[in-house]
Amino acid sequence: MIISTENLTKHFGATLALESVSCAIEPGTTGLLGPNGAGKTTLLRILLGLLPAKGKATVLDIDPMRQPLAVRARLGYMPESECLIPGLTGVEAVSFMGRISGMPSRAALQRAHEVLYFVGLGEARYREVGEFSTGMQQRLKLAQALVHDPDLLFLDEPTNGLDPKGRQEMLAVVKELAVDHKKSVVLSSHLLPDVEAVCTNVVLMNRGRIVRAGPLAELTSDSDGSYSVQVRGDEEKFAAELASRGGSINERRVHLPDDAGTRLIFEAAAAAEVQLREVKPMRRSLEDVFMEAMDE
Amino acid sequence: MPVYDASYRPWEGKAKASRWAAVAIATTTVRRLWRLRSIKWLAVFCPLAACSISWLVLYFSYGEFWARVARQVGIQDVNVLHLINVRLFTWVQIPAVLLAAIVGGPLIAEDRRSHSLPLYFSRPITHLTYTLGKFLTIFAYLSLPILLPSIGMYMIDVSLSPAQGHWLEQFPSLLRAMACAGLLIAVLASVSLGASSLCTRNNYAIALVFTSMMVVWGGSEIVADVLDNSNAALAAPFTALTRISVELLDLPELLYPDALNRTSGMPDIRLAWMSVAAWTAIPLLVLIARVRKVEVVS
Repeated sequence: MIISTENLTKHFGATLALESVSCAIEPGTTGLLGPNGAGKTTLLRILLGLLPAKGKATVLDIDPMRQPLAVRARLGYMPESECLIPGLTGVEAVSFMGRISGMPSRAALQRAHEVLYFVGLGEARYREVGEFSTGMQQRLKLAQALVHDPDLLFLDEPTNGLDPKGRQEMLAVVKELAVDHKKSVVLSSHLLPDVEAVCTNVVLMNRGRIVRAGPLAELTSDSDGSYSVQVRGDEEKFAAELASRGGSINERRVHLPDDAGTRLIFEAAAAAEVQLREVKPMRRSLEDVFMEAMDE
Repeated sequence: MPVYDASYRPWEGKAKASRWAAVAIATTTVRRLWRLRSIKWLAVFCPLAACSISWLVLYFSYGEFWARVARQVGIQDVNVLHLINVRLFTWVQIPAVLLAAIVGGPLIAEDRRSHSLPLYFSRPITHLTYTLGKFLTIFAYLSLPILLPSIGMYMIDVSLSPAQGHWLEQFPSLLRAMACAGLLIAVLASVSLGASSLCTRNNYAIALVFTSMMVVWGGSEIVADVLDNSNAALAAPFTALTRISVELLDLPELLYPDALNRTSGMPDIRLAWMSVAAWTAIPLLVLIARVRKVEVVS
């Protein structure tokens, strides 16, 4: 377990930002999802040791409220906001962040070149950060989070302001870090497709509370007996045969009676003399899970 | 086709203690500021002007000019280096405030405006390390017009003297001058960083540093005149620093000739120390409190 929290509560004056948040996050990629103001950034800041809070928390087996420096030494944080230090070139900015993480200056400079190439800013590394486009700034923020080779990455809205191509490239880099280099990543976002594309675990937050948590596959698996079916032939006849056996079809979604198996689909297809091109269990999208959780 | 291997590679080196981060912050910020033409000119012009004036004073001092002035106010055995340093610390105050405002004013204000404080504090550094890094930055720039001329004058004095052991004889004077310079730099750095932490625009921060110092200086002098009490002028850090400088350099009679006959003309040295301590500590406390709050809220 890389992160665990127990009854974490945080107030900002009269506003309750987090309410008894308890969760356990396993190594791998975890999406921290929720609408704006759900408490995602507050939770990340508490885990970084930047904010005090009531309750217990451990990050990489270290208490961030008691040993914030030890936690931050092993974490890489990519903030959501535009936050680059003006007047520095790309390589200077990244090597500077390496140096204040405790790296010797020569190693920090060498490492800055490496991570800038890795995130795709190799050609722009001598340009001043003030001249960077939004996409380049996002990449630079990722590079500075990686420069000291942390065990765990907190990425707060990493695809904010990126065009579709830039978004795909950013997600590919994050995925590569998680899959090929075994980095644990907590990706905070309100963009469901980003989380779906990269994460294996999901934590859903709303109004300062955790409303769903678990592996993405489990959360999106369906249990209402629906299947996605694609047929070639007379679709109306197939629908009629299906209805006569107690099933129903809506577009390509087939719903079967409670105790019926997939055999019923094959029987209906045989009776209707249509060819089955695809039969697979229907999965709910993350959006369905999200909307359901937000309504609770 | 990149020349570099663009794949991700782990870093297996050993991290240094977090206190070195202050040096990293200072060196990077000094280098960043040096790219600004205005700061470069000011930083070069200030020590040049200070050194030129000091050299001229030194030249005249060997012509018995300053010794005669000293004798006129009743000082028989005067250390020339002390005389020159007292004059230097008096003259350099205004350009030093200007440099402190231009260099120190934007230091925190810029970090606040660019929202980079969370970036700093996501690293294993404390608020004290961050403050120390910024403090060292401004210390480096203010050393040019304040500390460097003191050392330069010592070198000139030693090289002009025919006596073999003159450098050793004058070494305590150098230390005293450096202590005075250090106090002046500490006060200016604290005030400019404290003011900087209250602003998000560089220009406001620069204006706040310069006007606060000047208004307090002028105001305290007026109050001292009205009340006919020289201690009231110690509310201004420069008056207090001048009082401490003449005490450290053994020349209270030169700046306060009235004190030879009536002690009331000379401001209280303890009050001067208290004033300098307050002007250093209070802005630093404001700075740390502001940085902590801004970093949490932003």
